[in-house]
Amino acid sequence: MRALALLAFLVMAAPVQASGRLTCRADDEHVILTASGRVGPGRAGAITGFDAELALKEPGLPADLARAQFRGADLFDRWVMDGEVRLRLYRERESGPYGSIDVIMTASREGAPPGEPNGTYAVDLASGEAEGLPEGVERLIEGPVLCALESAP
Amino acid sequence: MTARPALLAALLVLHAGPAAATANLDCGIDDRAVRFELSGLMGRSGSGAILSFRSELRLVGRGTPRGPTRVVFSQEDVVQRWIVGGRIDIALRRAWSRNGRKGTVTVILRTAVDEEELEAPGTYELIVTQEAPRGGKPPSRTIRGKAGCSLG
Repeated sequence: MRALALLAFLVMAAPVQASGRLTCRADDEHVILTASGRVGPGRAGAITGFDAELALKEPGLPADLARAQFRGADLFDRWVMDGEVRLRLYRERESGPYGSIDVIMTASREGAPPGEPNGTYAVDLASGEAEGLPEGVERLIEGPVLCALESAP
Repeated sequence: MTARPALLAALLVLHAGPAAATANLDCGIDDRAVRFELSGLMGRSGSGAILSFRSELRLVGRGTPRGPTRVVFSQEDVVQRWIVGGRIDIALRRAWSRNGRKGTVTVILRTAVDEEELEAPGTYELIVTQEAPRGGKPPSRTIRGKAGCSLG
């Protein structure tokens, strides 16, 4: 967490055009959520090498949605510019009853001291009826997140 | 006027609606320096790609940066986007070359649905960068103006 605090400081200080490594992390009573990727140089750098992992702590949720890994193809929306970080991850269950997981993280360099959460996450989980879930399940879970952009040397 | 409620409805659907929802995305710039169009079909499910993507930039008139006069963007040139909860922000970048010179052109659109008007007005930023001849800092020029998008 101390390293993340340093990264949070760096995002406050880094020039907006700088390329670097983007990281986000949330760890509270509901979720463990981590995301990372490389932001290319320039005013609107492309995000490459993206990967994220989500673990929901509530028992009884569908296992395939409660623990999910995301890759670049799951990064539907992304905006990392001018001190803002906005990421949206989306996945659907590939077979069986309908199920989806939608994760939004938004953070800003404004208004948060270094090391403190500088944004929020929202996890929207939906699953149709399945074995052990006769009525399906829907959850919207929100909490604080810390995102940082470490400038490339 | 019927498109305006459709725009708001589509934005809400994309944010919280069923997985198969789709909507037509259109963005444009039309001022003394820049003509720009972007169109495509947005869906929540699938690959997240903007289907039937078409986009073209034309630099017209005085005061435009030296470099390309026409750029056709492809889906792969969408380097960033945020089409969530009433915001339509899109950034495109593509390399250009003309008369032995080359560089990159970047278009950044930032728009938001106006709940009074049910439209998505906003701004654009156009950055034309030219490759430095001997490895120095690449010269670039930026112009800004008004842009608009719709999703319905």
